[in-house]
Amino acid sequence: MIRLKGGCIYDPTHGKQGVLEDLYIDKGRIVPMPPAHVTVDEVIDVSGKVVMSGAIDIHTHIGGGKVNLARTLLPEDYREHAVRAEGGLRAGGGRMVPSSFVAGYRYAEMGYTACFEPAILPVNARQAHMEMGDTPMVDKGGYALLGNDDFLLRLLASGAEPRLVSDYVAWTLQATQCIGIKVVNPGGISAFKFNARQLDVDDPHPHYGVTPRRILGALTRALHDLKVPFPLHVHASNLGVPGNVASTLATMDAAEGLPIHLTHIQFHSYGTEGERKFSSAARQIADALNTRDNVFADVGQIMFGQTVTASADTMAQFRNSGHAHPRKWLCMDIECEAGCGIVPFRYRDANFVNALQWAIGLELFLRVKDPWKIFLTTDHPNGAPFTSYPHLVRLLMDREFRNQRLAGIHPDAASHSELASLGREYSLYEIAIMTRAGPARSLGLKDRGHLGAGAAADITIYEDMADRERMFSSPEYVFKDGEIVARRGKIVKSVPGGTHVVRPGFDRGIERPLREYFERFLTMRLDNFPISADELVECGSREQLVHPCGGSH
Amino acid sequence: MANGAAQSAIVENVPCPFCALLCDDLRVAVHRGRIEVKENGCGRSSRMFSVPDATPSAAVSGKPATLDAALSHAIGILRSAKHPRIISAGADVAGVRAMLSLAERMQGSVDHVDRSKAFRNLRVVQDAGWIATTLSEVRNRADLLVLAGVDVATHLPRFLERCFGSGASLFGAGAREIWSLGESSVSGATVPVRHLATGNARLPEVFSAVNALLANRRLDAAAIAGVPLEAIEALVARMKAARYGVLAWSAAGLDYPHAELTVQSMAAAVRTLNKETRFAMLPIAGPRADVTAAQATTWQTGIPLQVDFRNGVPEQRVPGADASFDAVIYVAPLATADVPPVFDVPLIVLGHDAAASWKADAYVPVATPGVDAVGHYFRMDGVVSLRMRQLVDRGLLPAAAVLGRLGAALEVPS
Repeated sequence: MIRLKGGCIYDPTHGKQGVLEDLYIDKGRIVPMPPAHVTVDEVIDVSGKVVMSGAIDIHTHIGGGKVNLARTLLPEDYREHAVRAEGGLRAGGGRMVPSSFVAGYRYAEMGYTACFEPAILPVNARQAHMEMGDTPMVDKGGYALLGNDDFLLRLLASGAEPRLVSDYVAWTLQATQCIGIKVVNPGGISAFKFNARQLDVDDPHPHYGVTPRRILGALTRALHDLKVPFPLHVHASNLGVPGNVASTLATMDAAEGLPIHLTHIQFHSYGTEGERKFSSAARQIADALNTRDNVFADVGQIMFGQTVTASADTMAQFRNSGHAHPRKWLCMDIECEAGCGIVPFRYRDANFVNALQWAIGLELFLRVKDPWKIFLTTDHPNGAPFTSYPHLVRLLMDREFRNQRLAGIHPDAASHSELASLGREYSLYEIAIMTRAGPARSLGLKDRGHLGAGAAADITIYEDMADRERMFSSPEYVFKDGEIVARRGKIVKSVPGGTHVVRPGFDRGIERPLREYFERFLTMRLDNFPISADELVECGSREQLVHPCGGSH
Repeated sequence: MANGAAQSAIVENVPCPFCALLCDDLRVAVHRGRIEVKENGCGRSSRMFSVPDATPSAAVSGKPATLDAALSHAIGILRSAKHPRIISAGADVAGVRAMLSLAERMQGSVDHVDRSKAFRNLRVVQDAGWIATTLSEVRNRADLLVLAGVDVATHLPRFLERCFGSGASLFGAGAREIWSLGESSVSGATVPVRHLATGNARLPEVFSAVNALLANRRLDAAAIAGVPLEAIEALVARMKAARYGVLAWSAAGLDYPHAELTVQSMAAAVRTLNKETRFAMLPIAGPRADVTAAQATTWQTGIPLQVDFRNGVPEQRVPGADASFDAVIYVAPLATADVPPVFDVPLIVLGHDAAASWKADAYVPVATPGVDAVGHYFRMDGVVSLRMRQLVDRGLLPAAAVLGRLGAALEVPS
């Protein structure tokens, strides 16, 4: 048993806001204070230090086909950022799209203990789990991509009963070993295969006639009926298009009051005002989040510098391919399910559009009042690599620092944004909500994201520094399942992670139409599609971590 | 697993690892440790699934030896090697993972036997990117298949049957057509085929002309690469008219200097076509799991082969600038692997049955994923990976386990 003595606890799940309290760890879990006769093997003095649960990244592209294609496209990222094998750690590299081992190390160094890959094409789930299996230090989970797959679109076009859609969604979660469902540009990726270049929320799909609104409605309903904790994760229509605020609000409406999570909402908060016809709609979007109880979002903050965008949204990626920097890009249509597009990108503070994107993201963070409703992401690597999180935390917590930065961006962008007028500074408690308690609650991880008895002993302990960037870059201690795995920002022990999943019940009758569909149209048999719990371990996962369905949202 | 001496079983939907198509609809009979493909096979799968009764013996310098003796000999070779090269000729994901782990520890390099062919494509992806597609998209969507210098039936015996025949498709692909360019033959096609015959080495000229015509340039020539200009104009018109066109080629078939420029030129044409319609590329991979090797190496190190660990960090070595090496481990669990090239250094083979006759300093027989071991392989499109089944148990170790043993032994000082 380990006692963490005298730490300053930030545990929003239990309303603890800087409470001085000891924590006890036994067999990988946080336990109540033991009776006097129990031997404590080790006491670690963490007096004056900030204690939070391990951070959880709710949206980060760390594994699967598109990530590996991005690595392939960018050998320079590896030439310039090679990582040596030392201290029992594996070699690798990469800054924009790190290799699997290195991604795990970098996350743990920052105090993250769980990461969620948000775009797992069902047919590519094996690869995603293999890559995540080679990503140590953190637990992983994935969101399976539906809403552009011909099976669902056929169901919807034929007016199938909601029950059938639910069964298919539940079957997909089980077959792919995922914890949630994501839709990317609902119907749009499929429409692009039919040579459509745009699909608005109420546009009928060129072949199926189904609208994105209908797809969103069907999937939010299915997850609700299945009592899957995590709401539908939505990459909305019209990513990056000036004026897309209208379709973003329409996307929120499409959920008809059921829970919905809009991801990287910064890329969907654009107006068309001003002489450049590109403006911030952060206020409208934040107002919508502030007034609609069912809508959640992560930001997808951009940071200035070189990165790469990797997305299933081939329609948007093809449209944006002209902005590729360096000038190379990939697109792929995939297996009657979805697609993938990789476009390297350099965000410049001297560029009006990029500078305004930066300000819009920050505006959203600062305008959304309830930190339980908004999550800290850069949509790694699309807005910036995840290693920029400590910098982002400082931007949120330190107004003076933020305003200094604001003074350095394109002056028109700065003046078009209301960022300067926003005085809010996030507190440590709010950061703990946004990066721990909030994601855990949203995902339905009852034993993560908090420091109560019974929780997994995933704990991050920081020196309380005025420079929040430094503070969040290199925590004093990181515990994973009760073991110290990082000290002062350096990995001291490599450990494997498990895989978070949900397994809602469903009627196996769905396998009959699925089997027929696979045999008639696809190039793989249904029997070879699902990933069993044993196979998940072969892929590299430590174990399957099943979370119950059925809680309240 | 269908083991057991006297039992007989029919196994459905068996995945086949012997070409990059990874068909997984085979129906096989397993009887007394022997496998017979009953349905949905091809000449290659029928041949390669049939395993001999006897398992081969390990060998040292061509002479039968115990497994331990062969392993000790291999360990001896590796102990005196500074920079071994570990080459996949069919390793599965677990095998490639083990290769990387060992190479990293020994400051060696990891390679694939067909790497110089695959590099013709890789270079284009690294320099420019492309627009690609996958097998089920081809099956359901494509109305035009352009084959560039590839005898598709040789590489992928069931490709046309499964992906571009007259079978069911989601959107009723309608009138389908194949245009076959270069030294390509299209046996088994059930749709109309048009040939534009020329040497594969002249495909760069053909695609330059295609790109010029796509850019609305006029060409002052009666023929390009021996192909009448009208035929190329007709090709371009057909490509532009395609609802969803697919351009397939095999890098192995583009066997001439700077063939990557041909692939580059094809990628450029496809990019241009996508301004108006939909068109995508379909690289045809080899039969020795080159895509599997590239995928696993890329996610673990960022480098798609050849990856060299001599400087402690993974570094890419391109053909012509190969890492030097002083021992070779040749990992050949699939019967598609032929005798390796001649290396002037000690050779350790972890191989299939027939590899016993190769002139190796140490030979360790290994199980074949999909036959007598489980394992994962990637299909040619790089998206779908399948878990191979263990159909029989011959008591052989998987390559990953042998590599693991070598690595563990090397940890202990001699």
